[in-house]
Amino acid sequence: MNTLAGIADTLTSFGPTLWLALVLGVVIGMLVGVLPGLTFVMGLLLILPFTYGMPVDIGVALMVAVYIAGTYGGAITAVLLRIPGTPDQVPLLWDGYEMTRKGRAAEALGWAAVAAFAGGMAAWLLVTFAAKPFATVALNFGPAEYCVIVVLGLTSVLALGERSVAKSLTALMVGMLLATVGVEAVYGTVRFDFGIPILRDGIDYLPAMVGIYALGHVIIRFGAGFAGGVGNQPTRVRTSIPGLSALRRHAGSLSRGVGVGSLMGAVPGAGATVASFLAYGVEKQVGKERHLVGTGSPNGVIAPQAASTATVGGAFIPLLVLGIPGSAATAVILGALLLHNIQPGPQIFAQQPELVYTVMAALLVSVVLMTLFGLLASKPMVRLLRIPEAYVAAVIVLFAYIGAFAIRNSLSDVWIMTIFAVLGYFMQRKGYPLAPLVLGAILGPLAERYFVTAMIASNNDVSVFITRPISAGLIVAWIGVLSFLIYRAVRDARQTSGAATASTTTPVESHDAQPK
Amino acid sequence: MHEAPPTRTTLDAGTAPPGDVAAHTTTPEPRPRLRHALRRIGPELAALVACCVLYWQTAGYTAGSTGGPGPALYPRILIGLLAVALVFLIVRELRASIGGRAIADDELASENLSRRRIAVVMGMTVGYVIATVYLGWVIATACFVTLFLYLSGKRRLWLTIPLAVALSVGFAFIFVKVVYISLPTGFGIFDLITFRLLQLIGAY
Repeated sequence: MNTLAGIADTLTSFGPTLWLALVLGVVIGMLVGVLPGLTFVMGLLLILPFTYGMPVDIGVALMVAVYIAGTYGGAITAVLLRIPGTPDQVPLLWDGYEMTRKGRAAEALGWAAVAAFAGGMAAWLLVTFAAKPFATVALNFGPAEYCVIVVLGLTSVLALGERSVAKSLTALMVGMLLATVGVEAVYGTVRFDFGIPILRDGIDYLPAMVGIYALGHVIIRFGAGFAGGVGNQPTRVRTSIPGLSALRRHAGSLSRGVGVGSLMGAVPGAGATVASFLAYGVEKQVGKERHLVGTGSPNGVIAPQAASTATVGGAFIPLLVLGIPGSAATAVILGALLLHNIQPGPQIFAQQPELVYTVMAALLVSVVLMTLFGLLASKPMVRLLRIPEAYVAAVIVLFAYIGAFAIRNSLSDVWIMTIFAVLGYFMQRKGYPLAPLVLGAILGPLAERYFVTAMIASNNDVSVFITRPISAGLIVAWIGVLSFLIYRAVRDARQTSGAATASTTTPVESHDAQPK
Repeated sequence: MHEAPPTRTTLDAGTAPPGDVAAHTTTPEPRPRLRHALRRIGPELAALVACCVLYWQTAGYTAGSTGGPGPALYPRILIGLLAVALVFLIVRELRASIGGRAIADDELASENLSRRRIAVVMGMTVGYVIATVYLGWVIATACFVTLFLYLSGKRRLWLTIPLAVALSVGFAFIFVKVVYISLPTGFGIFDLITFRLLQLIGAY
């Protein structure tokens, strides 16, 4: 009840600037969702430089609003135009657009809005009621537990990857190794600087992310000549809100989507895209109307959209309670918090309760605003697609430059951003996934810090990881994830060799035999 | 049974833009398989050599009096795991290439990318960063946006130049005046021009 009272107090104390930040954040989030290629991660990176000069509560509220609204904006164009604004909206094409083709666009848009609202409310409830109890448990965590949690996260990044395990591992190790460049946190040793001042300062993950997600996207789209424009736009855009009986009929899909999203949000490396695809798959396997999924069923819209938005709650808990970002989006928010000298962790409820309540209140308001905006402003958002992509790309470059530069007021970070954009491009061309690279750069330094402090505290006794009960339990979970990873690697290798034997006359094969 | 390995141009033929003549060359010129394989694994081999160099570098990192595992252990573990993954990938690629197959693993294959355009945009981006040092952010940005839009097919300079100037000045005003970021102002005369410009728009 204390938490609810705290949120209510915070809500009533919201000033006009904070309300404006929330409205702006929702609008920006919806826009980056609508515009193809721009994701909510990029949206967060683009607004990052603005947050440096803001009071921390306003900056965080803005980011929360962008994050949550960014998981929904793309649904509108996915349903109406078969253009998924963000990767997590791809499953909405299959049933959402099919509904549009059958003249049920308004109904599909309505279901998307309801699902986003339900996912958002679930995210809010999760953060509000689960974060504090979890923080109480987390107060018992030492460096050993934190280390195992981070290693668990890193392993799950590999286990959930869509590409080959070896390539994901390579990308992850490259990311983690790059994060070791510069002054080491515990010993103060300068590592891998080769006498270059830029490297001595270390490689911050924020410019690396700006390079990979923002500038890298521009490089690829410019290379493609900004091809793949938007076709004919619908003349009439309307949203119809489903009635109570319809809601009751589809409550199962809604709850399954919310459940999958909340769970996947907390798993590092999974995020909205994995949750959305997984929820669609679950709906197709176990839903009451599973035979209709794929033919223009509302369930094919509800489950992935609810899952996508619900991931926000799961993602915020490890960030707030442990200070460990499990996704690219929460890593950007952590970066903004650290730049304001705020270190999230189990103590945050005792030391910074106002900030936590601001996050929770901002999340609640953003969910409501996002739904209203989605219901009322679908038409103007669809019209935005008429803006030539080249103009948007040029603006992205400017934001990317300033975003990287402003982190330390240094051109070194701009160079790091540029190098990572180029590196990201070449890695993608060679089939290396970028998500493990980024998460390696984010989680790598945390893994090292906790590992080294655990070892120093235990006089180099590695049994510290299995003698503490919580750590031992986490090790068991880690062994489970590792076993799944090994199983997947062996299965992929067998499938690849099987495919190779069967197609020795075919010049090209794919090693990605695993299901997406 | 054993076909000649497809040349790089053959692999790219389906994804190249119409104007890219080289990419449309579909004549499968036989290439020695080992050379082809070495070309495919070149980046991984280079990374493996880098692993050796980095491992050798860690020899100089000592723990001192702090105790614990020392600053070298963690990067050594990472280098070791990276080397194992790279060796696996190299062996797999060699087996596939020598067996007359190629692994289609280009994540951007569906993007119809032109290598020339990629080289241009990369060069333009690097040039932009360098230009901001010497010309200052405002002037370099105006030039960059104009060139970027021009090369993107927006050839109406009467529209793009004012737009580029408005964007660079507008951004500079917002970030210097509102967010207090001191963007690069350049050297010499450009420093003076930027200073006067920012003074004129009220940012300073």
